[in-house]
Amino acid sequence: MLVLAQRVLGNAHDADEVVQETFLKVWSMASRWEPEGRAKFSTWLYRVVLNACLDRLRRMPMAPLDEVGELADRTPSSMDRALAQQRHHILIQAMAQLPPRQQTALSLHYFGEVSAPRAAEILNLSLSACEALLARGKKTLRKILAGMGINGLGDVL
Amino acid sequence: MKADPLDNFVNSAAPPVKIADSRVHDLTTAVQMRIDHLPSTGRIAFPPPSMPSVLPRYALPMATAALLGVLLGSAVLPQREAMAQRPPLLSLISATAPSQPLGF
Repeated sequence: MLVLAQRVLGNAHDADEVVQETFLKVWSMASRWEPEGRAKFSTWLYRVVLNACLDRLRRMPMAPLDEVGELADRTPSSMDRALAQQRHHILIQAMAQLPPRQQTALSLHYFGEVSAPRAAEILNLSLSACEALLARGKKTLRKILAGMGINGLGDVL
Repeated sequence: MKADPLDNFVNSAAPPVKIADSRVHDLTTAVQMRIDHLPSTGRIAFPPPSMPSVLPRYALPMATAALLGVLLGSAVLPQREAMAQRPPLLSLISATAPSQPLGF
């Protein structure tokens, strides 16, 4: 959960806060989890963390891309940092537009550092169905990124 | 094998992270402390089960109990009615009065 939060949020401090809040939320809302439902507890937990991260990102101010070129500090390290931040924001904005199941599958795959069989288990899918869902998610993400003018690393470097 | 440009972009935008054990420990401790200091109302009580979920579980026992009640009740009812019509003391007096005077 911590890895997922940090990769989505891009910094350790916010990731720690979100994971803490999630544990407290899970503690206080445990009764609302329906074990007879389709979602496993781990799936629900991942989604709670992911939604908390996306909520927090929505509240964070994002500097427009063209402001990166007008930085007062033009040293390579500060430029790199600003560009890395922009790439991160673009990715998260694109991920946020994915359908929920594709978003969860891709988040587990990319950010949760979860193996395909484990992701399939968490998503309550067969391995082939999970791989198909991931493939659909990647296709949708490529389309969303293309719509934002991003077709590869070169577009934000 | 050619690397997927999307994978490259994602790994560049959100690079892999390594989480230290000490950080996990600190976080767990902080969560435990926050849970310990939650007000008693902070935890939402488990709600009572809804009627639709309760009904199927208890429908058969309730129906059996009702049926048993009707059967047993109908078997016991005439006796109770007879008792009600003639209280025991009055029955005793009326049964003994003609043959045995009370001694006044």
